[in-house]
Amino acid sequence: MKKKLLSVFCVSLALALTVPLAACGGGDDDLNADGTWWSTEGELNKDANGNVVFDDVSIRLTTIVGGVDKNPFNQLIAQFNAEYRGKINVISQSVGETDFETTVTRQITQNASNAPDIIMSHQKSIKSFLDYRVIQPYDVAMEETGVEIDLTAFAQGVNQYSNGGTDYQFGVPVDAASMVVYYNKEMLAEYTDKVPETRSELLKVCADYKAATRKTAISWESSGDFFAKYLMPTAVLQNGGYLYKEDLYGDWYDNESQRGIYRKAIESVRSFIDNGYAKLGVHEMAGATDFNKKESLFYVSMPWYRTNIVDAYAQLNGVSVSQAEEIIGGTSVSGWFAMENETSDNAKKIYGDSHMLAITKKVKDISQKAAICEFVKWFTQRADVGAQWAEAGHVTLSNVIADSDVYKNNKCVKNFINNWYPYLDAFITMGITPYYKDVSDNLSQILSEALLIDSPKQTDYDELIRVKQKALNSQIDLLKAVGQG
Amino acid sequence: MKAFAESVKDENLIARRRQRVKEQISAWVLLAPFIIILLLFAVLPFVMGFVYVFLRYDPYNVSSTQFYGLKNFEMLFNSNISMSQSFWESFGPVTVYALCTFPIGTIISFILAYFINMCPPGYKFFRACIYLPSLVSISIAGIIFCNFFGPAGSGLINSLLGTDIDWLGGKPFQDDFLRWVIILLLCIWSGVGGNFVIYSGVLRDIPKSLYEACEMDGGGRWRKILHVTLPAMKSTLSLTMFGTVVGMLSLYGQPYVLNTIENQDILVSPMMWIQKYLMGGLTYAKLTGFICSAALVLGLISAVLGFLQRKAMADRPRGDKYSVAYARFAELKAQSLKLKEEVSE
Repeated sequence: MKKKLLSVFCVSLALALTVPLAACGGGDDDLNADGTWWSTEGELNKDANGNVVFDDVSIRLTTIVGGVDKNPFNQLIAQFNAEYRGKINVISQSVGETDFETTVTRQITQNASNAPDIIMSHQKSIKSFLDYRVIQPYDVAMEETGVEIDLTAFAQGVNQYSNGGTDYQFGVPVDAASMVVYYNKEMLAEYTDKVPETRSELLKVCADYKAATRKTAISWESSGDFFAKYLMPTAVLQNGGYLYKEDLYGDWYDNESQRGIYRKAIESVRSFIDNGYAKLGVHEMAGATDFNKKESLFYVSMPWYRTNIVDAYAQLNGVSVSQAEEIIGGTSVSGWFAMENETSDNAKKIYGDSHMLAITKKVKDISQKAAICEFVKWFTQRADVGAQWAEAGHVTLSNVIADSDVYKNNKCVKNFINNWYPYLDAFITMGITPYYKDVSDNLSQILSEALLIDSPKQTDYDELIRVKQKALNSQIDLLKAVGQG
Repeated sequence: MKAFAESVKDENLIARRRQRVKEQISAWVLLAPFIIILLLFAVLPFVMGFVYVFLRYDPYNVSSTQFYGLKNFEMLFNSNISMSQSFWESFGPVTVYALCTFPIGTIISFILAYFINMCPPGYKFFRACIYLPSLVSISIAGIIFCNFFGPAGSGLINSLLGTDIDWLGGKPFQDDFLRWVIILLLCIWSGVGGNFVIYSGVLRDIPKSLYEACEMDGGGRWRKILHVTLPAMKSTLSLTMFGTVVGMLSLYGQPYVLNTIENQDILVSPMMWIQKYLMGGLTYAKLTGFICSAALVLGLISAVLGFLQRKAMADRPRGDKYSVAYARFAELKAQSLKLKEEVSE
């Protein structure tokens, strides 16, 4: 029996050793002579006017969109397929955020049959995708196929990262999302004539509301996934800070001015709780219930919950959905956390995530590249498509769509989307760093842990900032050391 | 006649051999699904993990694989690396958890089994009730407990009491006592049933004569437990304790389902640490070997603890001076009796 067990172990060991050891010391086999990893084959079929003729080209799209906005996305894909019947057919599949990078990379590097031709991912993944050479430049494909769009006509705050730090443009920005504010118009009108735009205006309304009702003016889902993840970077940016240095390391503690800014960022969020204007430890459902029961003036949540919130308000208060849509309005967290210089450019900043479209390196056939460019053009330039996608909670980053009357006159865009993101060029994402997860985790941990401290002193915050900065930098050191081999 | 007898014998032998082959085939067929699953999802991953600890292995870029020797272990034991530091820190909460769960869980299981074994009225119903939580998955149990102990507005207990107690918040070893109480409650609620069934079975198998003998020697209920029940259950207790030790080191589900967003990154067990980084996306893919080395170390710690615990519970000859003296006395007495018999003969 022992001999049998030993032989099973040996066979398993041999199997396990085969792949990694065979690969030991392997080179960059997939690189072309000029250092690129993409190529183009075939010729385009064009009509007399020089337009590309598509003959039932099939493209496979993998999207990170998988929550409540998955259905609206699939409806848009169905609409595209109907409009391009017989010409282009998009097959869409969804992969969750946790597995997106690894699943897509595995499919593409292993040339799997279900590997995508185009991906819709978070822009922050761009550096990781480039490191693994799984995407190819969009501007090159656009030039080759002649299916062009103006790649500069996108919100600058986000579009500046579309090159992934190279001379090419790899991603096409689609939309953005962050924490947004819902408010009750009728209730707010009792305390102010205009929606607060600066922190001092907001604090005054909160104080008045508390004095009149003894309730907290803001309900937010502090136990939600995005609370600390989005609010801490937003607070840092609004107070004039940055998320990491040019060398990708954090100097949150080492740099005295940044340390002060990070302290202010914590205090700016914490002061709402300490002053009794908002609560801590509120679950998603509890925050929404408070707001819909008219317990609070503002509700800080995610944009894609708009229909759920409006429906619940209508149900709880015995009004129709259209009436509820008139009562609930949208405003922005822009300016909420700026402790000084309330009207500065920094105070306008909002941190969040952005979706981009990118062609994978798998695509070589020029007809397929043209079909992808046609789809991207449809998705990022058509005003009605942008308006439909906005109704699912995603603000467009395309200036062409944003400037169109169809988009601007859309009820949802007018009432919510444009109020949620009043300064689209000031929308900030994580930028170009492969360590975005560590930066984001450590930043959100600073806020989460700071909010748990009872009667904190300045030194408590400093220590927290120091520990998290050390954790981030040590992690980057490790990843760099292992990455270099 | 002899030839006939031999041919019959041969036929019997062939028939018996065929029967044995048939039995063997059916046994292998029945075992095959289990063996295949074991090989594919337990043996092979273990061996692969064992290989990866000596490599810089990136599953999404296999060509970049390099032989690393013991460098992954070197990094794991380097306290200047925050990732390594957080791995070792993750043992802190597990130790606290173990110290609470292990004795309390075992004692409660034993007490329940002891009383149910006395067959009180309705014992079958109670037996089922005690075992039932073991069948509930940890996710469902987590949802139930989160609904019970959630904050005001969503938690049942807070709503009933009209309070706003932060049952599941706090930082480890600072202000998270309540959270540990809840985790402990969840562990006991869901874990007691399994051990209870085992203890019940063993208690029923203890010969009644031993209890009667103890009673004749003047032993009461407590002495019976101490001198009959516990010694008879020693090997079973050892087995369940081993299970609990391994289980507490692989603690994952309970804190995972009960962690709130505010403290989800603070309370991390070694298993949660491994899972977090293995699922960390492309950035951490290069650290596969390093993470596997942490998993291997965790496995080794489990094995060592299990071994020590088995050793501590092993049967040992009583070596105190009274027993040695008594043994010598008995031996001498037997010899003298033998001598007496020989003389009388």
